[in-house]
Amino acid sequence: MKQIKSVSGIRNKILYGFFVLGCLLFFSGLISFFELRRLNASTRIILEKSRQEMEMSDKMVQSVKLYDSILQVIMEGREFSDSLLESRKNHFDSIFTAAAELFETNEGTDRVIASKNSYDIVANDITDTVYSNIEWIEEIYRSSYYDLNISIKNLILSTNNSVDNTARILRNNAYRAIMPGIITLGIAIIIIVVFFGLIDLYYIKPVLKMTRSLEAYIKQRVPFKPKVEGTDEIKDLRTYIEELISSTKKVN
Amino acid sequence: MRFNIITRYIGLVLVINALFMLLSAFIAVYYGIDTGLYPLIMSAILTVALGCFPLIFVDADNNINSKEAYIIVVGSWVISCVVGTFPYLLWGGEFTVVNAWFESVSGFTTTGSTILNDIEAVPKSLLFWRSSTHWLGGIGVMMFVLVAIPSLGRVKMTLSNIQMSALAKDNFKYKTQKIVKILLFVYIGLTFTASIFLRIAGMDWFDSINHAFSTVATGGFSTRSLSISYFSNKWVEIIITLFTVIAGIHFGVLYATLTGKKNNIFRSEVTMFYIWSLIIGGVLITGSLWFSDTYNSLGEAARYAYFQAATICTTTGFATTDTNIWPPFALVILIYFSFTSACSGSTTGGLKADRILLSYKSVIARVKQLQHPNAIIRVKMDKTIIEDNTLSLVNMFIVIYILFVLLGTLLISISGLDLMTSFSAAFASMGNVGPGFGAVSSLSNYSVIPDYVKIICTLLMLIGRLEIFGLLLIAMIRIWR
Repeated sequence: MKQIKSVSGIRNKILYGFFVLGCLLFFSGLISFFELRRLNASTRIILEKSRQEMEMSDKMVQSVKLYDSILQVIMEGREFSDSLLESRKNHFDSIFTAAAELFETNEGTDRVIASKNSYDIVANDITDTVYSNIEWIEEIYRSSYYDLNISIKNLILSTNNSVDNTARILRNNAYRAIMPGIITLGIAIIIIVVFFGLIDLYYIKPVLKMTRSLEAYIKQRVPFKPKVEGTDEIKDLRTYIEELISSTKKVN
Repeated sequence: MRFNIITRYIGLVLVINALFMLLSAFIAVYYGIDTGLYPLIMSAILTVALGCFPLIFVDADNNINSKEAYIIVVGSWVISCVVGTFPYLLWGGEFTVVNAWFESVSGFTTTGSTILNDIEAVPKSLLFWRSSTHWLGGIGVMMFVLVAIPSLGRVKMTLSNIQMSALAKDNFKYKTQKIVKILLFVYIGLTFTASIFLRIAGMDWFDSINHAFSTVATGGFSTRSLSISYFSNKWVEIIITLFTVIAGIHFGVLYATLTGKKNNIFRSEVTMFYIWSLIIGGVLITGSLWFSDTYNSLGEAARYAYFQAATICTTTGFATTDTNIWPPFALVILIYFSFTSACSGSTTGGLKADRILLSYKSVIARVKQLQHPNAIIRVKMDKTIIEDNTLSLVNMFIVIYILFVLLGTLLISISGLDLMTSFSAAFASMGNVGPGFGAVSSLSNYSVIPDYVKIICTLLMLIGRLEIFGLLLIAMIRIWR
């Protein structure tokens, strides 16, 4: 296998160095941009869902209250409008139907649906037959009503907990999203340090050595013999200066 | 000391690493573009950028001194471990920064300890990279570089002298150039053969290649959370046992055996010592398991005994059973095997059987000397006289090794882990074995231990893999003239 040779020419080497650095920094920025955009999109979806769930929970509570208020009127034996009862019942049913679609199927949601169904049965009994039985109202109706409210509140609590868990997941995702950028930047910094070291070794130091050596030759006739690393134009420069000095000596 | 030359050779090592990352990325494509593709491609690009950089600027140099060579070898190991973390960090999952570092160091040092609770959740491409770190680390990443670069005379000699342990250079009765080729020939040949046999035994190609990598490198990473016990296949266990035992033999001796030369395994004292230790140790463990009714039959006891004895002795660390249920006598023998391990010149870690045998012989020689003060008693190995200087180094190495294990135990125990877990984590890391006992037993993992303990374990892994003096020399480089 051929020996791996270094790229020739100062210009090509330095160009390559800056090209790699530029690409790394661009790469780092691009990755961070896409990762953060993806994170932003998923965060927005999660927050939007959370907002909708909170709104729906609020609507559920309100619809239960409204339905309860008209049922109270019936239970107290007062006059009521059939259309108002119907509209509140329809509103109650539609809110809970929408909630069943919005919330994920879990223990909390199942509990709410079960409580709602029980409440429906009890509420239908009220509408079919008017009861002035305080005992029935307190033991059957009230317990069903409180059960429904508690299950909605538990659902709100579990939604809050899942938002908390989601926030934790998002924090981990954010860390993962910035990791490519961090790694790429870290490598870019290492390359900058190495690049500087190599430029210093192969170009800056040789030029300085040649300058001092030339100065020493001009002022004190010290032989021009600076040690130069590398095999490119810098070494050629040293060779040509040596030849120039020796040809000048011959002429003199 | 010329850092430009050092960075050039380390750059070559990084390019080799990048090639294997790309190969792993190909696996991702082959298996329907799994989630490991993007992290592996990105890691490969970054590693190539880092590795090619010095190659562009620095010309090859035919003369490197031993100081530069040490830094190249040690630097290659450490930098390989660093870039090895990239695919894990970019993939995420259970890989935090510390976990990724632990997994990478465990891979390259062929320890085989893992922090993963659910190995099956990791995509196949990343599992292949994981096994590749074992395969690269088994023979030393530097060896791949040495075979890739053309004859550079002193460079190859200096680098390979440091890459192999001092004892490994014996039995290699060849020139340096040929040594490197022999090592790789035997290594690649064993890996290829093991893959075929495992496939025939019933594993699919992916599992067989990964386990072959891990077996021949005496690493221990499996593609299954339950390690080899997942397969419940006695042929797989027999093949792995056989190949780990072979991988524990000096590669030069193996080559000599295959090519019909004189210094074969039957004439090698160390190899015979190693094999007989395994046979006798296996018998003792089998007896212990049988009499303690750990298993239902003698055959079952022997099956588990020999598998665990072989994988622990060769510092591989595969598991077919939970050794926590074994009686103390069997565990002590396993601990003995963890320390003594297999032959130098193989891919195993630990103290090496060569040192243990030399140590025994030097003790016997010393006793004889005391009995016969006027006699000249010499220690011989394979009919060759061993210099007193070498014996002193061997005994000193053993003492320092044990001191490091004790120091590691002390530091780990500060975390509150029980003594068995602390001690076994320390010696398993130092010996590059992998599984210990207690909370880090054969079917457990290192996820339960605190992060700072994982860091200590990784330091012990590196010290053990670089045979102590490698890292110590670098730590004391300022006074090296």
